[in-house]
Amino acid sequence: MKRPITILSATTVGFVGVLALHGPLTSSSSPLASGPTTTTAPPTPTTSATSPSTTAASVSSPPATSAPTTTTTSAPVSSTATRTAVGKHEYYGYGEMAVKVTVVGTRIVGLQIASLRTAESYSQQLAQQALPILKTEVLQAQGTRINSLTGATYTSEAYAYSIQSALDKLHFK
Amino acid sequence: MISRAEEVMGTVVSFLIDPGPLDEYQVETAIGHACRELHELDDRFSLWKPDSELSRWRDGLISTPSSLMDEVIELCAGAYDVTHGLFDAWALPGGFDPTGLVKGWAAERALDHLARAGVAGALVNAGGDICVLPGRSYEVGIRHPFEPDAMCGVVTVTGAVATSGVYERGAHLVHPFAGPLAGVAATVVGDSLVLCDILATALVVGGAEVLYVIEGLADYEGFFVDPGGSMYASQSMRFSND
Repeated sequence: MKRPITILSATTVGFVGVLALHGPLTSSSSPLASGPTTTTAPPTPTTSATSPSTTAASVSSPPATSAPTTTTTSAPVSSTATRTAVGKHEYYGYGEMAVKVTVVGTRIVGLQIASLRTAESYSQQLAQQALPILKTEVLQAQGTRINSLTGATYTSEAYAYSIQSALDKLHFK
Repeated sequence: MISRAEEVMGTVVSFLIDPGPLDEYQVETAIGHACRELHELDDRFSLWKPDSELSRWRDGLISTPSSLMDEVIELCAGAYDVTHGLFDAWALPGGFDPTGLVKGWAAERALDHLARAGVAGALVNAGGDICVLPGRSYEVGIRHPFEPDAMCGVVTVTGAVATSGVYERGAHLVHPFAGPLAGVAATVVGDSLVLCDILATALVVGGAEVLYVIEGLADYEGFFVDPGGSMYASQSMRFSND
């Protein structure tokens, strides 16, 4: 019953699962690679890297080349610097979400939902006959004795897309 | 306690096992059987695999369903009845879609392997759908629907608990009567994981009307969170941290 470790490991595994599920973040075959980068391709007219963007209806930007050779002119980043970026708002079917990513050097150390908006229709006030119990306190997962966690996890494509765009902002590879 | 995690069914299934009298080899063998069952069910009921039995069934390529498919169809029919049509595996575009209950059902079948092997205690968590062997209680945190690193409550589980949410992977919830969804997340605690799963899904869709259904079921309790963050619970819903 005293097993704070369980939740931590489960969370980590879940997180790894998310990444594994969506493939390597820099892989060009992954749908993630067409993430909404804001950088435009270098003005080389002959490049084949800017092949027509496939699907990705919500992504308006040009396809990310994901070529690992982009040694850009961006300033060198300290390998231990902590940096954060908020990804693009992505439509997830019932609203919009954006993910905040924190990296230290080349490691992702934090993922948070920066904003979550539900669509208008779901925000309608419900005529409830049941008594509402508004819970305001939020328990941090750490430090509470639990054996396991239940909950819907953000592993949707919207989540992944938003993470990718945040990583792109950080020039994270 | 032994813990394991297996990536399967588009999520991570984790095991927490008290081996009791079993030695390590016996426990590993049991986990292996449980995982194989999960992979086989994934192969059979995946919507993402075009040659799965479910995909072929939806495409009209199968005239006689397997006994496992039959069982799932039966469960979906029962789910439709108990939720007054709010859990409707036939309402989704693309045809029959039992994914709302297959994960929980598969987790229970995995747990059966551990029970048959004779472990002293076991918990199977299939992406948030949790079932445990009877005889022990487990504290299960419920993820906060708006804050992924936080919980909104802790429940004591002696049977099963399931959470459904509109932000969940694969939860393409559709209101069969074209109304708005009542909740953004719902959790149900009870004996059978399949029924918890069904009721949690229906709670997200139907909200308060499904709380009344739950009130009528002995040993089942639940709550849902509406888009504004208010929580509505059945009368006997208890949180360990209250």
